[in-house]
Amino acid sequence: MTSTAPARLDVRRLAHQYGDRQVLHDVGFDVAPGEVVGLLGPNGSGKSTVLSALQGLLRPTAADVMLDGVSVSPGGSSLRARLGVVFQQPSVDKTLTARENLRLTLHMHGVFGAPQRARVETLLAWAGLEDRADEPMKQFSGGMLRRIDLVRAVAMRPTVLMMDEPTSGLDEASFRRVWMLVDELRAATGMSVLVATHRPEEAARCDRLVVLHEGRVVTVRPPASLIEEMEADVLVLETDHRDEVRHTLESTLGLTVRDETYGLSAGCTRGHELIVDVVRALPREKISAISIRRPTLADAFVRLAGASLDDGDAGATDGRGEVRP
Amino acid sequence: MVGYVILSLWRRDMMHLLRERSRWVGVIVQPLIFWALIGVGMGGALTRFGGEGDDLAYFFPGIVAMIVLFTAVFATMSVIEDRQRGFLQQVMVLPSSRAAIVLGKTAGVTTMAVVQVSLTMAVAPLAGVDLLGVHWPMFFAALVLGCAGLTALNFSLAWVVNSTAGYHGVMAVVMLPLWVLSGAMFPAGEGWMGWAMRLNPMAYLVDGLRHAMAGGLSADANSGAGFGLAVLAVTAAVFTVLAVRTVARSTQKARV
Repeated sequence: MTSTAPARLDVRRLAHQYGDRQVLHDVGFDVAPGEVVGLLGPNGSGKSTVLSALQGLLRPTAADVMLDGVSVSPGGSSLRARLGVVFQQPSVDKTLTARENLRLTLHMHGVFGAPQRARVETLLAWAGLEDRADEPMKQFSGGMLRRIDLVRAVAMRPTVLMMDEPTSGLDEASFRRVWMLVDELRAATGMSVLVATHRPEEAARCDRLVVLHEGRVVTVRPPASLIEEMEADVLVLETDHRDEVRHTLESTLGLTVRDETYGLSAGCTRGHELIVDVVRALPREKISAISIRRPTLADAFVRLAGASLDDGDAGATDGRGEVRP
Repeated sequence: MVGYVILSLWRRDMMHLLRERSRWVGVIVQPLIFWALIGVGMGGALTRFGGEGDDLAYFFPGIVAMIVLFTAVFATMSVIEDRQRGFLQQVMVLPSSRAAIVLGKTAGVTTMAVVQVSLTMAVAPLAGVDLLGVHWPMFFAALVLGCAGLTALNFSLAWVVNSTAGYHGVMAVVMLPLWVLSGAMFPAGEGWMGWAMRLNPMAYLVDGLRHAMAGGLSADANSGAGFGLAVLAVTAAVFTVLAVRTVARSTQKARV
């Protein structure tokens, strides 16, 4: 936050414990008006727990929360009244139509009659699903379900939209469409967005990232600055001789090598020159393919947390966890 | 906002009731088949248990109670599906009391039971029930209070079990024995079974319906009508509070 205006949402000292296990340790971050902030971390890092605590779905052991400069109870009704929530699974009734689902949401907020009908038409237009409005939602694709779920969440014009892995399981086209809609809704309503994700391409769309690992905030920075700190290139090797190739790269060329699903990778500078050295250092039959790519947020996460975004609940690894490019 | 949420959840249950025709078969037809088969098949066995009169007539209030029970069981099963599929999460993050979820569901299920039982009463003359002689205020009071209590109890069980297979098991172990011990099939005897029936809230639903179908007072009932309705009211209130507390406690224990 560089502005002097209060943050839309300011979270401090957020902690939570399940039995003897501390799952959140003094988590703190803020979200400015109109800003998109991402909670980035692998499964089990505490992203969903942070959202659940703010939404009132669990009671944190400690937290100080301010909304537009006013102290509010974490997960309390005054905070929930200003939230729109998109869960990991679309929280719609698939036996009803899209129009009925939206009407039901507005009904719960006490919006009836002509204002309700007008709002439903606007929401359907935002989702781009006016022509499918009266079909049962069980006939909808994952992307369509998600779009209706998204406009449902913003039906009451929330000041903060919270989304938990909103594009999980969606293909690339649906992913882009959902995020186009988020951007349109943000422009139309001025709302802030807090999104939990472990998808690097989703994290790249955020203004700032709160990098979480094992319930602790590792850093809070814009995605571009995380990548800027990385080495210029990532050397990617496909090989069936991992141990031998790793040993050569580490001992001969001084690289820090990571295991990948397809082989090995290593951060480096001037990758195009390094390829020549690698080819000289390794027998031809030991390498199936070699290439250079730009570092991603997944690489940045590995560097910061010593674990991969794909590690799941296992927590920290030896720092050479699998990372998909 | 609590009122809007209750109304919305009730409305959603009504939409499901109108669309899911298979539900009607399970809830109404199955108990009627039971009634016909057990009533005819037992052929005067009632007198061996100390009862009097026609078996079909004796079993009918119990069959109505079974419809109420099935309605409550099938409808509260959707609580598990709604939690697992995410619909109830949407409701839980509203700035409203969690009690609205319990009250909305109870209102929906009770309305369903009233509609389904009212339709079932069309065949009541076959059991010797004079529809003009039924004490309808007592009938609906017993029906509404009994259904509200059963729904709230089943809601708590569904919320805690949170698995459809597990819920089926609980229903088989808890609810069906409660129905058998409700005076639906045989009158309260002496000894432990008589006490078990007196402690069973569903017995007061059956008695209330039995009194109402007899015009206000039935010799076959095990308890007085007024006392029975009072027990049903207290039971409904206790189970509703229990259900609200169950939902509220899940917030503290949530593992998300």
